[in-house]
Formats: sequence, C-alpha cells, structure tokens
Amino acid sequence: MKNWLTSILFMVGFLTLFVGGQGSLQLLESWRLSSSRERSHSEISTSPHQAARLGQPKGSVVGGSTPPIKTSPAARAALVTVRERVDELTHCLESRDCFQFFQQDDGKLGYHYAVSNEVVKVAAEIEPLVESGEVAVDQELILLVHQLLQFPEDHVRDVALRLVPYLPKSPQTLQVALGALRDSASAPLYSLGLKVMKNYADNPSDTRVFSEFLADRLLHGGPNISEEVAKNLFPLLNASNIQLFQGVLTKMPERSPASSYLESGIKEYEIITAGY
Amino acid sequence: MNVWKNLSFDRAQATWLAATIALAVFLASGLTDAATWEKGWNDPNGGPTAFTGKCENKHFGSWSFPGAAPWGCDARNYGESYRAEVLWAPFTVSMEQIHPQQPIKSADPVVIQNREEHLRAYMTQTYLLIRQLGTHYYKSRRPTAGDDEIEAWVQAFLTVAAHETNFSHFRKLKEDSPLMIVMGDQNKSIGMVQIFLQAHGIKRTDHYFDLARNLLYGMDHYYLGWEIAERKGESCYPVKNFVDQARGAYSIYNGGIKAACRWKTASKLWHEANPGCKFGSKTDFQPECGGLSREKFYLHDLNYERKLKTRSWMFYVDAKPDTELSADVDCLMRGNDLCVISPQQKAQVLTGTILTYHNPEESNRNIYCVVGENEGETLFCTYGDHDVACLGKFGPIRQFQKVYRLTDPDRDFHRITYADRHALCLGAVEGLVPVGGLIRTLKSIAIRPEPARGGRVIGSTGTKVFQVVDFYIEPGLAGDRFYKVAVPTKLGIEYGYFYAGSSRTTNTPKESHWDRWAKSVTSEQAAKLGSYSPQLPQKGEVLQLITEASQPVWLNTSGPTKHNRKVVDLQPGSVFEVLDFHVMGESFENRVNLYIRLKNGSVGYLYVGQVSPQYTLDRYVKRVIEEGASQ
Repeated sequence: MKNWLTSILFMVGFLTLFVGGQGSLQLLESWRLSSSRERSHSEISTSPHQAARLGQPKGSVVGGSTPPIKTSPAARAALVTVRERVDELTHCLESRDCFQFFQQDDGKLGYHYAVSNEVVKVAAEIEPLVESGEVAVDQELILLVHQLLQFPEDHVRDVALRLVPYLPKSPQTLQVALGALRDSASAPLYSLGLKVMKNYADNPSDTRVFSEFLADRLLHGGPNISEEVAKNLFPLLNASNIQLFQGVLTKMPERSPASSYLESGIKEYEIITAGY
Repeated sequence: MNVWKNLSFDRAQATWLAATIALAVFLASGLTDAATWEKGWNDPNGGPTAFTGKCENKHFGSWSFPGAAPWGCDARNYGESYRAEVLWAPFTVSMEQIHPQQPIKSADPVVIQNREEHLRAYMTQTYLLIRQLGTHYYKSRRPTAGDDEIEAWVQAFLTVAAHETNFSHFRKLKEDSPLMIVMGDQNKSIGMVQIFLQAHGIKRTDHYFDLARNLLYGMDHYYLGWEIAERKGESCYPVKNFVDQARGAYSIYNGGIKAACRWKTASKLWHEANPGCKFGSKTDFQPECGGLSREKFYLHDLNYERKLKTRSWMFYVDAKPDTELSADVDCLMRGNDLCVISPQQKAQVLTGTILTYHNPEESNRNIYCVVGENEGETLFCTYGDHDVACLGKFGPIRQFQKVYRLTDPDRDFHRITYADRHALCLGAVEGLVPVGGLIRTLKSIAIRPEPARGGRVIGSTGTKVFQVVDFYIEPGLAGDRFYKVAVPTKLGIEYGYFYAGSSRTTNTPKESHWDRWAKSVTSEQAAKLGSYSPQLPQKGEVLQLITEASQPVWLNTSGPTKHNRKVVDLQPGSVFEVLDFHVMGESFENRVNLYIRLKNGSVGYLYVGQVSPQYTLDRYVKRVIEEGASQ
C-alpha cells in the first residue's frame, strides 16, 4: 500500500516537473533578462552625471540641442549589449531554436511575436541613451537603427521609427524608413511614419520620394492603410506635392473613409493657400 | 532505486518535496507569463493592453462541418455583437441546424437535410463574399492584374479561410442564445482568418470583429507575403507559379517572415522527422506521426497545399451563375457594415430603432435617423453614424442593435437633418462638455489614439484641466462618452481620447456616473487649478492671420451662401481680436469660426481651420505677443 502511494506521488512529482519545465525555464530566463535589464538601467542612470561632469552637451536632434561628439564608455557598453542581444534574437527568429520563446503551438506566429517582444524590450533601451545625450549619433547608431527598421515585425519597427528623428536626415534613412512601412499592414506604424516624415518635408527631393510612396499607398495600399495615410497626411501637404494628392483624390473610390479624409485635408490646404 | 535508499529522507518525503517545488515554480511561471501578455508593447506609460482574449461560454463545435470550428466564444467581449447579430445574420451558423453531435453520415434523414440546407446557404454566401471582396481588394492593389492572377489570389485566400477555421466566424447555439465568434491559438487569434491579436495594427475592433473587416485585415497580411514571394531575397523566391506563390504567402502568414521558405521543404522535413508515416494518409494524425513533435507545424503547410488543390469546400457551395450575394461588396469595401443588409429587408419596427439611408446627391455619407417621439411622423437625422447616439434626444433609442435601411424616407416622413453635429449633440447627452470647453479630470485616465476603452495608450490625464477638441458618444444604452485632448509627447503634441463615464446614475449618493470621472470647469476655475494647454483661441486674445492667401470675414457663420455677406477680405499678416468662437461641423469634423473685431472696429466671422480630426488652426493663425501689435 505504502509502495503504491509512493509510486503515485513520485509520478505526480515527475510529471509536474516535466510539464512545468517549459514555464520554469521561461521564469528563469525572465529573471536573467530582468537582471540584465536592471544592470543596463543602472549604467544608464549614472551616465547623465558622467556626461555633465565631462562637460558634454546633452540633448538630441528632437530636443533641439547638439548631440554629443563622443559616446560615454558606459553608454557604449550598453549600446554594444543591445546590438549583441538584437543579433542573438534575430538568430533565434531564423533558427526557431530558442527554447524560452516556444509557445504551445510553436509553428505559428506565437514564437515570432515572443522573440519580437524581446527585441522591443531590448531596443527600447536605446532611446533614453540618445535622448539623454549619452550616445553620440554616429554611423554605428545609424546602422543599428537601420537594422531595427528592417526587422520583420511591426512593434520593433515602431521602436526604430521613434529613433529616426534623432538621426541626421539622409536619403538612405528615408528609404529604409519607407521600406519599413512598405512591408507592413499596421495602421499605427503608418501614423507614426507620417509624423517622422514631417522632418523630411523641407527637402524637395525627399518630399518627392515620400509623396510618391504615400500616393501609391493611398491608391493601392488596401483600405486600412489608405485610410490611415489619408487621416494623417495634412501636415505633409505643401506646394510641391499638393497637385499629386489632388490627382490621387480623383482616382480614389468615392465615399470611402480614405477619400473623405483626404478631401478634408486638401480642402484645408486650399483654404490656407488660396482663401475660403 | 539504490540512490533513493541512500538519501537521508525517504521516497515519499522526496516526492512530496519535488512535487511541491515543481508545482510552485509551474504556478509562478504561469503567473509571470499571464502578466507579460497583459502588458502592452511599445506602451510608454505601461498601460494595460490585452492581447489574449477571454473565452466565455466556450463551445467546442466541430471540425467536420464548415462554420463550426473550435472554439466558439461569446462575441460580446470582442465587438458590437448586438449589431453583428442583425447585420451578419446570413453569415451566422446555427448549431441547432448542424447537429454537430450527430455523425456526418447520420441515420436521421431530417438531420441530414437540415444540416445540408443550412450549410449550403451559409457556405454559398460566405464563398461569394470572399470571392467578391478578394477580387475588389486585389484590383485595388493591382489594377492591371489579369483574370488568372485575380483568380489565383481568390483561390489562395479561400484556402486561408478553409485552413484557418474551415470558414467559421459567427455562430449561435440556439435562436435566442448570444452570438459567438471563433477564437484560436489559446484565444490569441480571432475570426475566420485568425487575426493574431498581438499584431501591431490591432487597436480597434473594426480591424477584426465583423466578417468583412476580419477578411480585409487578413488580406492585408496575406498580401504582404504574396508580394514577398515574388521578390528575390529568400532562397526559395521568386516563385515560379501562382500555386507556389500562394503556398509561400501562407507560410509567412502562418509562421512569420522567417518561415518564408517553410513551404518548400515542409514535405521533406516532415517525412524525415516521421519515418514510416505518409502525409495524407490517416497515419499523419496519429501521435507517432509527429502529432507531438516539433516538426508538426509543417502540417500547416502540407494541409494548406492539399486544400488549395482539392477545394473541398465547393461541396457545400451552390455555384449556380445566378446565385447572388446578399451584401453590397462595393459598399463593404468602404467600411460600412450596414451594407450587409439587403435592400429587400423591410423595416418592421421603426420607433426606437436607428434608421439609415443613402442619398448621393445630398451627402457622400449615409444618413442616420430616428422617428421623433412626439411627432411620430418626423424623422430626425444626422450625416454619418459618428453621432448616432445623440439622436436619442428626439426619441429614446430602445435598441442600438437593429439598424434598418430606408429606401425613400422623404416619402413617408417629414425629415429634419442636422448638418452640425455640435447643435445635435449638445443637450442630447447630460453633462456633455462642448468642443472648446474646459474639463477637469478627477482621476488618472488612460489617453488613447481612438475613443475606446482598450488598446494603445499614449498618455494619462492625471487630475488636470484640458480643453476639449472633440467628443464622442458611444452608440449604446449606457451613453459612454470620450473626450479628445492634447497630449505632449516626444514627437510633439499628439491628440487622444480619454473615457469620461456614462449617463448612468447611482442612488447612494445620488450622482451621475460621468460626474465621477471628469467635470466641466469655467476658465476662472481652471486658472485657479493650474495651467492647461489651450487648443482654441481664447476670448480677448489677439491673433494674426498667417495663411498664404487672404481670407474672407463673413457677417454670419454660414460661409459663402446667398444668405451671407462678406464684410472684408482679411489680408495675410492682419491682426485682430477674438470676441468669441463657434465650433461647427458635419459628422466627425470640428471646424472653428472666430467672431472677431478688426482694427477698424468692424466685426464678423472668420474661418480658422479645424481642431479635429486634423488640427489645422496653427496653419491659419498665430498669437500676437508683442504689446504694440495687440493695440
């Protein structure tokens, strides 16, 4: 009797350990990640003082002040950690072999999103570093942002797009940012992307590039994206692209939400420039 | 066994210890996992965004019949089920008619007949809907596509619907039971084409809840894969034919971009991992044939390919050439779910319900009406469905779930249509603060890009004063209201909505629900409570016109009509004093007219742009700070 009971209890213990194994490893992984995050945060928190002590200018392109000439060693280490972790996670995505991201049906999108979620957490550590002025906007940072913009998941692209205003304006960055939108069906990402493009509206060549892209999205981007672009287009309208979008309006399906928003934006622009 | 004997405690104790530790770790990891899913991504304020849905009244259904796939969950948790119940009735499966508990080859001929008639009607309409939506969608994205390419796309997407849920979306267990919607992947995916709730674009129910939206959003994602399959870049691309393109696009749809080439090697890898098993035979469903292995996901690709070839759903489709779809697909593509109701459906109960019709000569929007309570023969209407809740002031709306299409309302009714949403809504909803009014929040409330109680958060109100730039009353008996306000963010000023209570009242203490969320305040009260960010010009303020062209000043707010007179053409750079402001607009628009006094003393109305949906005031006027200029 005692042996029976002992065997049953042993089996229960073994099974619970076995079934719980995946969750336990996830828990351990989450502890590991949170401790590494805490470490990064502590490094970040000391950096502004260092920057101030070294007399480096703080702020960023967004903030309006000059970016630092050189990245502080602590911030450099944090940035290296971020890049290495992004590379590791990208490898996880490709190999589908990282146990901690397995979902119950691991052939489907769950794994893809679990890895991407981790990339988001890691990439989110960059903005405070750039914003506080601890990281210089150099080629290395630009390449990292480009890498994140090309990451095949919209939440990651969202984090990356928020970094674009800190970078110096360049046709390459604009192309990569537009590429991130082109490969996406996410309305919030387009809404963010259009805000980012406003920085490029003062250059005629850049304006032509993004206007042609947006005109194409309005006409052939599908109903969701077309509506989102139309809703957020007004701040990007100017003398060099208004004719393009007036032409687009005539080709759009009548009475659609997208054409209503576009018409409303164009009308506002016309009143401002030609009178009521 | 010897190892156990050598330990200092006996087996029972050790087992208990192991079980207890494992159980504790397991439970703790489960809690951690749940907490992770509840937290939103990319949410600067860490506000909650649920990506895992709940499944109430879980119903298994059956994989054997179209429209009934596991799992069915109460639809009210995911969207306006009362509305869908009426509008999507022809696209709702009745489980009573299917008898899923009876075998496919049931002995009862009544069961067989009921089932086949019902499924034939359901599948024919669903098939036609996907065909026509798919054709419209593809033509809008590729206007030059040939017929064979469009047909390939349609068949590829029909197979997506077949493989994801066997054409399941809405279902009802009984005639009077609540509407259900299909959920999969442990409640992370929703609807016929299993929209993954963690996808970035999923912020509002209208991206996935009703069948047309679910299909269109799925097409957006499937099309991304369809395009990638044509490009160079991956080892398996570009594809050679439409079948490979469909398979490649599905691998991406199902597994993400990094699974792009899964379709190419799926058969080889699955058979290697499961020696002795042959895909397509009965054995592939057995555990020893990879049912539990890591390679089981290759079955998604293999089954997709098989379904694409066999098109087994056609068994239930009545494909006669004269069979018509009951919905207007052109209209559905414009985002109007009311187009699902056929023109033949007659209104049965008008009073207390919302009526709608379309007159292209009058407005490019649908017009929504209610029958007036006292008059009985008067229709009170508004353009667009944005402010339909405000019609309740003319006659209580007993139910928002029944929306009837009218063909010629002017024949049967005297009609009053409100062109100005502000005139319509103020006074319709108790305690509503107008656009331009000041409001003080009484607690911290999440600010979201859309008027919704879930989704991405862009800020929090705290207990502060805001100037309202838009209001929204949610259609429904509760009278839930949202206000749009300015939120400073790193990317500049953004605008978002916060929830501000419903029209419900409580008895102890006697107060309205909305009173506990936010209260209207005067500008004097606001000044005492601290600073706020004004979004509209204030009375007494001096402004300068900064438009490129001159702008007319009118005698009244109606703009250029025959009843109005132009006072003067105001030149860019002119300075004037604000005496008052009026916010007007049809449907969702909030346009601002300022009542102004010019330097020469003449007064009139000047249009200065809109505050919502787009904020354009700052392109019309700017504040004059110089002391000399304001005189």
